[in-house]
Amino acid sequence: MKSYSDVAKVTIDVNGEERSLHVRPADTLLRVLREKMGLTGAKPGCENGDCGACTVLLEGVPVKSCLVLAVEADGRAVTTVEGLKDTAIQQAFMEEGGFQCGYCTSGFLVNAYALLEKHPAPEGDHDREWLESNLCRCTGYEGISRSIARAREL
Amino acid sequence: MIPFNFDYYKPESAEEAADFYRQLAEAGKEPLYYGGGTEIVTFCRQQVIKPGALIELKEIPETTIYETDGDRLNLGSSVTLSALSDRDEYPLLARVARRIADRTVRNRLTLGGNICGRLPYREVILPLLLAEAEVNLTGPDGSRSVSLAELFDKRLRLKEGEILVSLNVEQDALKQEGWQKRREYHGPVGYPLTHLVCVSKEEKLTLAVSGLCAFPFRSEKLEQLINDKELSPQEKVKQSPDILPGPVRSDEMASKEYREAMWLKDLLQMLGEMEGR
Amino acid sequence: MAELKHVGASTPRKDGEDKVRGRLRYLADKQSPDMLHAALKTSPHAHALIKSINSDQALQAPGVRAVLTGRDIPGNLGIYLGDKPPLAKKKVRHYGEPVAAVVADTEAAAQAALSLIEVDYERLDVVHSPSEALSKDAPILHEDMAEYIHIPPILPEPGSNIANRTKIRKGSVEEGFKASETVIEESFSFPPGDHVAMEPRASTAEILEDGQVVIHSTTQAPFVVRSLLSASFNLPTGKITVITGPLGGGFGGKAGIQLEGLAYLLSKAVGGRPVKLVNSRENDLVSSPGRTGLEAKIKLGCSGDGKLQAAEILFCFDSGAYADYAVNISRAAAIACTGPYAVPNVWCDSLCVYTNHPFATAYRGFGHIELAFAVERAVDLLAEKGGFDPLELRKINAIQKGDTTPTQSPMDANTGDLRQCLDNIAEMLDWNEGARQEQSDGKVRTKGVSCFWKAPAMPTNADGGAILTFNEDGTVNLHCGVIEIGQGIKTALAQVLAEKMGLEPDQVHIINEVNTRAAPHDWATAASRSLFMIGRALLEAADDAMRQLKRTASIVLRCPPEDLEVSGGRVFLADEPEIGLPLAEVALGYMFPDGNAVQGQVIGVGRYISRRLTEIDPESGKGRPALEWTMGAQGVEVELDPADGTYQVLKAACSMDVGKVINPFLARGQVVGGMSMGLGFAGWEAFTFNKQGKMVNDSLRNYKIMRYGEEPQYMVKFVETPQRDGPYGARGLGEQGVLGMPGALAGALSRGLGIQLTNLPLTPQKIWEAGKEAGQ
Repeated sequence: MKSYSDVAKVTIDVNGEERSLHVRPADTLLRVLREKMGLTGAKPGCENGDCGACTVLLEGVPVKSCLVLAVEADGRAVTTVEGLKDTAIQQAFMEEGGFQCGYCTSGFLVNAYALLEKHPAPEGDHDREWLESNLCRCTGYEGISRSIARAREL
Repeated sequence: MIPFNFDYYKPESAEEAADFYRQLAEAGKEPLYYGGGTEIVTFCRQQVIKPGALIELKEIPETTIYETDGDRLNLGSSVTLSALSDRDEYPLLARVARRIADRTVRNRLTLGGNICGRLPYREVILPLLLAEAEVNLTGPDGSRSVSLAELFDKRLRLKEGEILVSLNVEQDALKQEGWQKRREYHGPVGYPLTHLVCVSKEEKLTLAVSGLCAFPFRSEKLEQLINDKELSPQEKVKQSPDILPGPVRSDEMASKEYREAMWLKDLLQMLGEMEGR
Repeated sequence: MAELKHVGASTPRKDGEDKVRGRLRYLADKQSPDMLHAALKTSPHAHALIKSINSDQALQAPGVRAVLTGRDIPGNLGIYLGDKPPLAKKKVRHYGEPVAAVVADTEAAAQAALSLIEVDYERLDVVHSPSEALSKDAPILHEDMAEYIHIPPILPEPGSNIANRTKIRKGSVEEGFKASETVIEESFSFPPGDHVAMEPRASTAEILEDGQVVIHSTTQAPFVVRSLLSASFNLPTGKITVITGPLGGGFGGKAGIQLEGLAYLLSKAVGGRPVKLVNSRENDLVSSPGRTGLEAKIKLGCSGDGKLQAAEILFCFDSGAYADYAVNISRAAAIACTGPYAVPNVWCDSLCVYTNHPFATAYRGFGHIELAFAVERAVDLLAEKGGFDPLELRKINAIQKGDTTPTQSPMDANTGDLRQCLDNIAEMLDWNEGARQEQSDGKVRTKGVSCFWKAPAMPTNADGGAILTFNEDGTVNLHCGVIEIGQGIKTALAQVLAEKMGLEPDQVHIINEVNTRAAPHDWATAASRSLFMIGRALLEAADDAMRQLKRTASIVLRCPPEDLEVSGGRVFLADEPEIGLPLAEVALGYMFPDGNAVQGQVIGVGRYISRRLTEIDPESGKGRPALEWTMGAQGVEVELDPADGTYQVLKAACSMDVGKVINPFLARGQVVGGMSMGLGFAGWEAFTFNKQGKMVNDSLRNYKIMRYGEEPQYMVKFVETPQRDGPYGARGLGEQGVLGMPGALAGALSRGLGIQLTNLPLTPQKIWEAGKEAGQ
């Protein structure tokens, strides 16, 4: 049985790079990404799982990194917004005003990226179901909704 | 951030987990089983709980299964609510799971965590109570299988250190068409004001409810009432508040009066739409 | 006038690249190893005496460097009224009020030490609402009010719970009501709520060896922070530097002074070492300020033809435990108390009232969203009673040039065309096809309209400035004190400058950070005045720069400077355009082939200070406090199920007169975002308290804001009646999107239910209760 106490070593594939670091079992993935790796794209909007500003992909699946312990990601692959390179969704956000203050943007981009990978064509209620996981206070969601549609065109 | 420390263990089997739980508990380490983590992480951050150790369940193979075995569907307790809602073997459970929290959180919430956690809603239990599921447990004293109905009274009455490993549901329960109505304070993402799930079985209506009272329930008395051929639907609905297993809840989301009024309305609608099914 | 190239274009935002890559660093993203961390212990009680605080154990905890409590800190903070101790002293006045602060090596150590601080409270009776606060035997929340320092326009009433009273006495309401054929009188109310900017507030503080205080903060008003720190802690303003980067939303909640004072004191307590204080979301909701609640009573009368004759208005703003900006919010509401209507006789008392709620600060709309709810409901009630179409009634009374405001200030030629806005709403929502339609499924489709207006509520000497410097490649750097809070202001200002100087927007470089030591003074990024005021300053700076460019070029080109023009990145002879020089050769001085250099670098300087603003008379309210008014109309279409009170907002429309749309894309974004926020204000956002005054929805789990998928179809149409003294005719618009939503939504739901709804939030339960009470 694997055990982690005090400070433990974990190895996480972050955006395609294998990173080894020492964490407390009580450190969340969000904190470790931000404070030990300088990947501050994921944001602490609430650290309670409500706002989604901390969203990253864990093995390709969107998760709220404020609710995931770093030790849970040991041996696994994590993708943060910094790992999205010139994607259609980023381009679409620029064109269609998917952001204003930008604080919720990292979380939305990561979630939307995964959504579009899984559902390249709009079907059923998936868009709303996935994206209602992220809060935005600035845009009223109109620009984000336009961006999703635009990303599908690009 | 969680300002205190705990240890974290990844056992490879349920037996190992339960055994290690007992060891930690006896050493005064205050262990907790760790499923999706959403509750434990937030309650630790708020310093509402302070476990000394977490025992990870998601890596235990027996808890990750979702498979049909003969005439039963076996659901591992670590299966996520997103996984439950994406699969079509058990549509009613999928429908119910899809209403809990939001999709990204559901990617972590587990079947077992939703049933055994601290929050009082436990909505995945609703179709499972109606399906008369069986639960498979492993504890420090060994493994056992019990009917869910026997073990669930407001919450799952596990023995100290016992793990909910998986549940079994009979095939004929899986495809039953269900009726469902969930109300929230505002918007689809949020705790339930009320959540009714109804299934018709052998021409009798069965009903499980969460959010209305302080705990989720399936009530024999209530089912007798709603299946009483002598009463009109209006009369059934009118008598229902008197036989609820607990007082109607009042909280910041809704008053007792509104909740009860919505219960009456939804029950009447349910009776109307389930008539003849 | 020549056709505009950049003003009026949807120029792409300048700050997009970093935002879509997650590369933009907000304050909490910036870390340094020498930073110490602070955490706050807050009160679990809404009103209680602090009998004792024991920090001994906390001080011994590993990593803890200092623990501060109220008794360590003399004096109060306050923007207009010095009523708030940075840490509670003798008592706590709201749930979540900070009572102690810990500084430690790590955030974990600071958080862990909080539970080691023992506080002994003695509970006091809780004041739950303004009316309770104003009742005869109410506990007095601020016993020392008479000693508080305040600015003269604020008039606190010691011995009561009134922090400010603003009076409007225009004409004679007695005469007005006599002339009124239809009169209504009704009360309206709503509880406090929150901004919920996605970025929680944060502040760092450090004191250098020479005594310089360096503050980094998520502030909308770095210069206000500087001057308040100076006044509160006896520090020379010249020794304080406040640095602000882009914010993750502000909405007024980050204006004024927030965590900075406490961060400074904590740094001082550890010998000036850098200390960082970051709000958890819970602290941001409860311990840091939210927005006001309101209890209002309005009596409104109109003559037979629908013309308003008199308005008698009482506003009691729920400021919570401390007054902060709310004393000015209540004042602003008095100044604008009638809404955008011509009312000849007005009596208004607008009070800022203390309660034991978490306290309030500036919030988008600043008194105008609050008053709009009450006034628009009153107008709807008047329409119903008098048999007028609610939209027509508003058109009849729309304020126009020559009419006077409540402060008896005449509306000038810059007045927006409210009637056109109302016509646009009617068209967008098909008002004339009917405002109420019952469906076969028992639901009702219904519409509601409202009007709004707002002028910036600023000090009469509010100002701003702009400095232009040039780079060797002829591009320009735009220096100003405006904060990017998400609104895209820097892009819009770059467009104004590009238009003026004939440049391309990407030849204008904006600076993401504002450092008070380097940037020109700027009142605050609030009140929807940045575009107007900094736009004006920028135009002056551009004129100044162009004058200097021409002067240098005139020497080289051997011609009078007046014969030159600046455009397209060149300085050239207006009637021989091929004779000219690129800016790159002129902007940093010109060097002749033999080495002689002339003129030197061009530095364009511009400033703008509000023109001819006055305070208002303390008895009559007479005065001219408003820089410019931006007004408009809004409407919603809703589908309501009267049986359970649930509803869906299908459409939200806004038409407002902004003078000139600088960037249509950004402008629409501001209005749509505002409508989303206004709908939340109206429909489901509210602080909820238990009987002990404890806030029970102090997280985003239970304090709900709109989510993706809930949004209505948004419709926006701008009207452009020029603001002649605004840059290219523009006036402010950042806040206005929220203002009319509560009135419109309440109007629609009232129409659908057949019962007038008078308080917020408009939850299904509340609608259902109203129906029940009326016997439905």
